[in-house]
Amino acid sequence: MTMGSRTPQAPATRDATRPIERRPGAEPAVVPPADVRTYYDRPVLKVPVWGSYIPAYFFAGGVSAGSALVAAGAQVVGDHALARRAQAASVAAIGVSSALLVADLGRPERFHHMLRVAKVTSPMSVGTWVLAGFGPATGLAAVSQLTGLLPRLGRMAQGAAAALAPAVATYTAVLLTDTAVPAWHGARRELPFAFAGSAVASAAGLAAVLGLDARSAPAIRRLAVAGAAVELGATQVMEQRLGELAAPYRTGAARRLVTAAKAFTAAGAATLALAGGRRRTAATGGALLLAGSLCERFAIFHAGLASARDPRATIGPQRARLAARSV
Amino acid sequence: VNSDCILIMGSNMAECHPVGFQWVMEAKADGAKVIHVDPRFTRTSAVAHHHVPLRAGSDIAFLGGIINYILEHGREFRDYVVPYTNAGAIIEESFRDTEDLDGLFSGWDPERRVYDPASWQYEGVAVAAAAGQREMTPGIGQEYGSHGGFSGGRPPNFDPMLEHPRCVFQILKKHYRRYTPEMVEEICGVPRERFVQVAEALCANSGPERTSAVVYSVGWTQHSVGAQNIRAAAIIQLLLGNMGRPGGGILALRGHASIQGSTDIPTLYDLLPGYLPMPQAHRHTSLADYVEADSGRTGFWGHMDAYTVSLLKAYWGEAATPENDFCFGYLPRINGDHSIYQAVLSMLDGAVQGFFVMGENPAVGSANSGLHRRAMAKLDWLVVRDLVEVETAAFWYDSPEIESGELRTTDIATEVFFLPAAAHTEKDGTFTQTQRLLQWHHKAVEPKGDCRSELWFYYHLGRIIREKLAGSTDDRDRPLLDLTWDYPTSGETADPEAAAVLREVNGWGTDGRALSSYTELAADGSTASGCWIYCGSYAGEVNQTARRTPRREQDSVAPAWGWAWPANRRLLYNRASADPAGRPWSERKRYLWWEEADGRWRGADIPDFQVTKRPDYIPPGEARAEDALRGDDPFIMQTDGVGWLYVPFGLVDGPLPTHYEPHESPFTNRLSSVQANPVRQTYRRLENRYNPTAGGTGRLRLPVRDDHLPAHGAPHRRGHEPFRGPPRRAAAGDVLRGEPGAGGRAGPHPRWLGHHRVLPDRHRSPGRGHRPDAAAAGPGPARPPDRTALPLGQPGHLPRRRGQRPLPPRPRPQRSHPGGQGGDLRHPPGTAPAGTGPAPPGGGVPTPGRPRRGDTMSAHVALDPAARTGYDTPPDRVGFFTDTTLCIGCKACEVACKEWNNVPGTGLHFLGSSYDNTGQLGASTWRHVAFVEQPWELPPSPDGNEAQGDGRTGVRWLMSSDVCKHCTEAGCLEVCPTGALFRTEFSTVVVQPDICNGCGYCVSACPFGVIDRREGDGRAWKCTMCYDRLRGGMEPACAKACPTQSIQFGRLADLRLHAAERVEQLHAEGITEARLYGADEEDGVGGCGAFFLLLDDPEVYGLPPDPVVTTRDLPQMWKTAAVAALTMAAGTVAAFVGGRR
Repeated sequence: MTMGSRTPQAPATRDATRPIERRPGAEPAVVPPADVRTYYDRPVLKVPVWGSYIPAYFFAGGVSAGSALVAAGAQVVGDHALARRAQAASVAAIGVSSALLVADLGRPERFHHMLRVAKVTSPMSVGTWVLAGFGPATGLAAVSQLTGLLPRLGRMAQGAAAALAPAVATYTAVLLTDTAVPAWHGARRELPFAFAGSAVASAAGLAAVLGLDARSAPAIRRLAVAGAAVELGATQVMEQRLGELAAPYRTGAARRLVTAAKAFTAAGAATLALAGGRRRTAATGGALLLAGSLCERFAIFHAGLASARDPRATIGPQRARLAARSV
Repeated sequence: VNSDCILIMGSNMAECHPVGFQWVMEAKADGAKVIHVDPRFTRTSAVAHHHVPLRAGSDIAFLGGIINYILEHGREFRDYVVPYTNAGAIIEESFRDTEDLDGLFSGWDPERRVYDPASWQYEGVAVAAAAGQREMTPGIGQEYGSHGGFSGGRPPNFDPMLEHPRCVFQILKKHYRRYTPEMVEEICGVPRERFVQVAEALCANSGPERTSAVVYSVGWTQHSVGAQNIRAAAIIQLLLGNMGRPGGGILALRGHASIQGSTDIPTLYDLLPGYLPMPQAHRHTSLADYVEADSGRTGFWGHMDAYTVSLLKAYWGEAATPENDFCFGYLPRINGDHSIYQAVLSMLDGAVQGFFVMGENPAVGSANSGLHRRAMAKLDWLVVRDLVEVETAAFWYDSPEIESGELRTTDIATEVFFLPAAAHTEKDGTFTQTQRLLQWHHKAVEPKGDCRSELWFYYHLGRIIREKLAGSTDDRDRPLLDLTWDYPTSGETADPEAAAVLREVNGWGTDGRALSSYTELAADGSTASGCWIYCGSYAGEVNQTARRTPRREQDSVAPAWGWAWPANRRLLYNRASADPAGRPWSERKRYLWWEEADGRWRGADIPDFQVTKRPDYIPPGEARAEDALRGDDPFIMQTDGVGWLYVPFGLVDGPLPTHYEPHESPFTNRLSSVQANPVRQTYRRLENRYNPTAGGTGRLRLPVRDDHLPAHGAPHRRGHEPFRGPPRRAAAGDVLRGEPGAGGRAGPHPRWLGHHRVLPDRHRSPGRGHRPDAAAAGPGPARPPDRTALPLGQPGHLPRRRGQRPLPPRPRPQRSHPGGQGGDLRHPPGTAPAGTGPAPPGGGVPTPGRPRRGDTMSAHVALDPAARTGYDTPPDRVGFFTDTTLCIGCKACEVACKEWNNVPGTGLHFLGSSYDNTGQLGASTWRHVAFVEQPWELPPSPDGNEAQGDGRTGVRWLMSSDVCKHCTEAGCLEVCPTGALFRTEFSTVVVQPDICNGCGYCVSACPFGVIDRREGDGRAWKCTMCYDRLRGGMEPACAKACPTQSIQFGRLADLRLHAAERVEQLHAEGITEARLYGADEEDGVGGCGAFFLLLDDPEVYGLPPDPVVTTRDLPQMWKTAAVAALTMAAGTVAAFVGGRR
C-alpha cells in the first residue's frame, strides 16, 4: 500500500497479495485472525454518512424520554415544580432532537417522506412513528401544565408520553445495531440497556440541575445511580463481549470519549448521591451526568465509524465465523 | 475464435484492443492456449496461459528460434509447405546468406548502404532492370509489395523434395541453424525451457486438424527491423500451414481506430489509394511507364492499369481521357524522402513553411518531439485540426522549450490555426479496422460550435481554392480545376455526404451504377473507382459497410456485418484452407472447398480465388494476371501464387529476417559483426543525436532517451479507459510496468541505474513497479517523466512524454430519472436484441408493492423476491453472473454504466492500487473493476503445458467487476424508512430518487458497502440493474458493453446453472481455486442477484467473506430493546414509588 492508507505499516496489503494458504488441521480461530487479507486495505463497508447531529440527537432524545418519565414521577410524588420543568425540558429536548434528525438528512425538505410508510424492519421508521406519538404527547402535557388548561387531557398526555418514553430512549439503540457496522451490530445485546441507562441518568442529571425539592430528591438520586450503573455496566459487558471488535473503543477519538463518559458518569452519580440537600453540588453532579451521557453517545458513534472504516473488523469476525462453521 | 493457440507478441491486446480481445477470450474458453510474449506483464499477460518476457528488440531471435525448432524437428506441415510456399524454389547460385557473409546478404553496397537484390532471385528468372526500383531506393523505404519484381509464374527451378542445397527450404534451415534455444536464451533472456514450451505449443496446435494464430501490434512494427519481425512470423505460419485457414494467420493490430483505413486510402506520401505506388519524378513520365514498372504480369496485380485508370477517372472524371493519359500527368510526383522525419528537418532548414496536422499530435507523439516542436517554431503557418487544443496547437506558449526559456512566445513567428474537429459521433463515415473490415458509423449528434468534420474541411477548402482559381489559364491550376468536386451537402453546415464519397470510392461504370467488385474495373476509362480494393463496398447501391446483422442471425463468418475488402472476403487467401485437390485439410478446419458437382468453390466465406477455377487448372502459356495462376496457387496477389518463405524481391533489408540489435541497443549482436540493421535509416544531425550503442560512437552518456525512440506514439488513442483517460491523460508512471526475468544476459548494471537505485527492487516485485510513486518512475504525474536512466536488462518500459494538457470538461446533459423512461428514448425497445432480458411485464406498468410485514424475514422461500413482495405475476428473477476469469479489466462496464445512467464522473484518481481508479463502489460508481496483484506460484504440471501459471511468472493479476448484489434479503431496502428503495418486478432493488430523503440508513445497513449518499446531492444512489432497460426488454448497459463474457446477464436460475458448470470446467482444467460467491441461497443474504466466480477469497477482491443481512437479528434486537425499555420504566417507577414507602 503506498497511497490512501491510514495505517502506515499496512501489513494487510502484503497479506492481500499472498497466495492462498490453508493450514490443514489448524484450530478454528475464535478471535479474528490477525492476518486478515484485504483489498488494498480499503474498507469493505461504507462508513456511515451520518454526522455529529446523530449522536447529539440520540442524547437529546434520551434526555427528553428520561425527562418525560421524571416529570410523570415528580407529578406522582407531588413535586409539581419539577414535573413542570421536566416536562418542559422534555419538550425542548425532543424539539432539538427532531431538528437534529432532520438536519442530518441529505434532503431535509423531504423529512415528511418518513411518514409515507411504516416498516417494522426499519428502526428509523418505527422511531419516526414513536416520535410522532411521543412528541405531541409530551408537548401537550407541557402546555397543559404550564397554562393549566385542559388538565385532564394534560394528564392523559403526560401518561402517554411517559409510556412511550422508554421506546424513545431505546429504539435509537436498535437504529444503530440494525446496521452492518461491526461495532454496533455486535453490541446489539447491550446497547439498548446502555442507551436506556444513559437516558435515565441524563434525565436525572437534568432534574438535579433544574432543582429538586425534598419530595423528589431521593427518587432522582436513585434514578441517577441506577441509570449510571446500568449505563456503565452495559458498556462494560459490551466491551468485553465484543472482544476484538471493541478495539475501536480503545483507540483514537472513541477511547478519549469512552474514558470521559465513564469518568463523568461515575463522578456525576457519586456526586449526586452524596450531595444531600446541597443544591449546588447536586446540580454539579447532574451536569456531570449529562456530560457523561453525551460523551457516551459520541463514543459509541465514533467507535462505529472506525469499525466500518477498518476492513479487518468486517472480515475478521466473518472469517472466524466461517472457520467455526466448517469444523 | 477458431484458433487452437494464439501467440500474442509486441502487443498488449487486452488493454489496447479490448473489443478484438473478446475473440481471444472466447477461443480461450473453448480451450485455445493463449501465449503472451512481451517485455511487460500486462493485463494481456494476466489472462494468458503463459507470459514469456523477452528483451525488447529481440523478437527476430525468438521467432527465428521457433523457425529453427520447426525445421530441426521436422514439424513443418509438409503437405502444405510444398505446394503452397516457395520452399522448393531454387535460388541463384550467386546468393550468399548472412551466415556466409557475417551478417550481410550478397549484393551489399557499402557506399550507398543498400542491397542490389539481383543475386537473391529465383534461379533462371530474368530481372527486369527497372522493375520495382522504387522499393529499393534509399529513402523511399515503404516495404509493402511483393507485386513488383520478376515476370511471374512458378519459379522455373523447383525441388519438391526440398533437398536441393540452394532451395529455399535448405537456405532457411541454414540461415536459422544458429537460432537454438540456447541462443534464444542468450539474446532474448528467455529461459530455454520456456522458449521450447512456446515453440512446442505452436507446433502441437498446427497441422491439418489444428491452427494457431499470431497477433502483433506496434511492439513489432516500431523497430528498425519492423517489417522483418512480421516476415519472421509469416515464415512460421507458412511452415506450420496456418495461412489462409480458419483460426490461423497473422493479425496486425493497428495503433488507431481506423489506421488501416488510412493506409488503404493512404495518408502516406508514397502511396496512392489501394497500395498503388506514388509515381516518381523523372522515372514515371507516362502511365505506360508507371504501370509497366510496377505491375506484376501474373496474379491480381496484373490489372494495375485498370486500378490506376479507374482511380484517375474518379479523380478527374470527364477530363481524364485516353488521349491525355487519363490525366496521369496531374498526379503529384515524389523525388525522394518526404516522410515526417525528413519534413521536420526541412522545416528546421526553412524548406518547408507550412504544416497541416490532423488527428496527430507530434509535439508529444513523435520521435524526438522536442526537435519537432523546435521545427514548428520555424514555420510560417501551422494548421491543427483536433478535438481539443492539443500540445501541437499550443506549442508556441506551452511546451518544455517555453518553460525552459529556450523558446519565447514573442519570438515564434509561426501563425497557428487551431480548428476544432468533429468527433466520430458527430459525423458519418467508416472505420476500417485491423481485419480490413469497414464499419459505418452514423452521426449521433450535430457537432457543437465550430467543430466540423474532416470531410467538411477538405471539401470546402477545395471548393474555395477552386473558386479563387476559377478562370485561371495557368496550366498548373488545371489539376485542381479539373477535379470532380461535386459532393452533395446537407445540413446547416453544408457537410458533404460521406455516403456519396464512399460511393465514389467504390466506383461506377459507364451507366453510372455502383460497381460490385474490383474485377469489373477496366483500363479503358469506362470505370471509375477511388480505391480499387474498396470496390464493392457500395455494391447494389447499398452502403454495405452499414450492415449490422447480429452475430446470432448469421453464420460464424458473419458476412453481413460491415464489409471487408477485398470483395467482402473475411479470410484472405482462403483457398489455402483446402488441400491442392480442393478438399478441406480436415473436417474440423473445413472452410472453403471445391464442389465438383457445381463446378465452383463453396464455403461460408467468399472465396479469395476465382470461384470457378478448378483445383487442377494449369494456365496456358499466354495467360496473364490471375489467369496465369494455377488452380492450386492460393496466394493470388503474389506473382507466383505461393507464400514466400523467402522473399526474392521487394524488401530492402534482405530476403530473410535476421536478428540485429536495435539501433541504440547497448548489447553487441551475438550473431554477427553487423550490429544493427544495415539498411536502417538514420537522420544524423546535431539536433538529433543518437545514443551510444555497444561499442558505438554516440555522444550521450545515458543509455536511452525517450525522444529518440523510433516510435510514433499514439497520444490520441482514447476510449479504452473511462472518460477518455489513460493513456493520454495517464499519469506518466502507469506505462512503466516492469517484469522480472526479462533481464537479457546481463542484470541491470549499477552504472546505468543512475539515481534510480531502487530498480532492482522493482525487479523483485513487478506488480508494484508501475505506480507513479515508485521511485523508478521518476517524478510524479505533474511533470513529464524523467528521461534518464533505465536498467539495461529491460528497455521495454521507457518513460515517454505523454500528453499533459487537460481536456476540457464535458458538458453533462440533464440527468434523467433512472426509473423513468428517459433512457429508453435512445434505444427504443424495438431495437433490443431478441432473446435477451425478460419480457416487459404485461398489463402496463406494475406498481411496486409495499413489502409485506416480515416477508423478508422468512428466508429461503422458493418464490422469487418479487413474488414474495407482492407482485402477482412477476417475470423471472434476473441477475448478473460475473465470471472474473474472463475479465480483462477494460472498465467498459464502468463507462457504459455512467453513460447510460448519467452517473456523474468522479474524477480520475490514481489510487496506487493497480489500475483501479475508483477504489470501491459508491454513489457515483455503480460498477467497479478491482485489480488484484498477487505473487503466484504454481508448480509446473508434468508436461509443462497445462498449468495456468507457469511457475515462473511469479505474479498473477486478478480482475473483477463488482456491482450491487441485489440481495434476496436486502438490508438497504429493509431499513429504508421512506420506501424509496423498493423491490422491482425483476426482483432487483432500486432507489427512487424522487422519494429518497437522504437519511443514510441504507448506507450503514449494506453488508457489501455498495450504496452511498452522493455528495452535494444528498440522496442515496446505487446500481439499478438498468431498470429502465429491463423494462424495455434490454440487458443492462454493463453486460451489453462487456467485450468478453465476463459480465453475463440473464435469468438468475439459468445463470446459476451455467456458473456451476463453469466452475466444474475450471476445476477440470486444474484451476481448483475457482469458486462461486453469492450464488448460495443459504447464505446470509439469501443469495445474491449478482454473483461472482472468483479465483481467491472474496476479501481479496474487497468483498465480505460471509455477509449477513443485519435484519436477520432484528427480532432479537427489538426484544432486547423491549426488555431494556421495560427495565427503564420499571426502574423509574421503583425509584419514585419506592421512595414514598
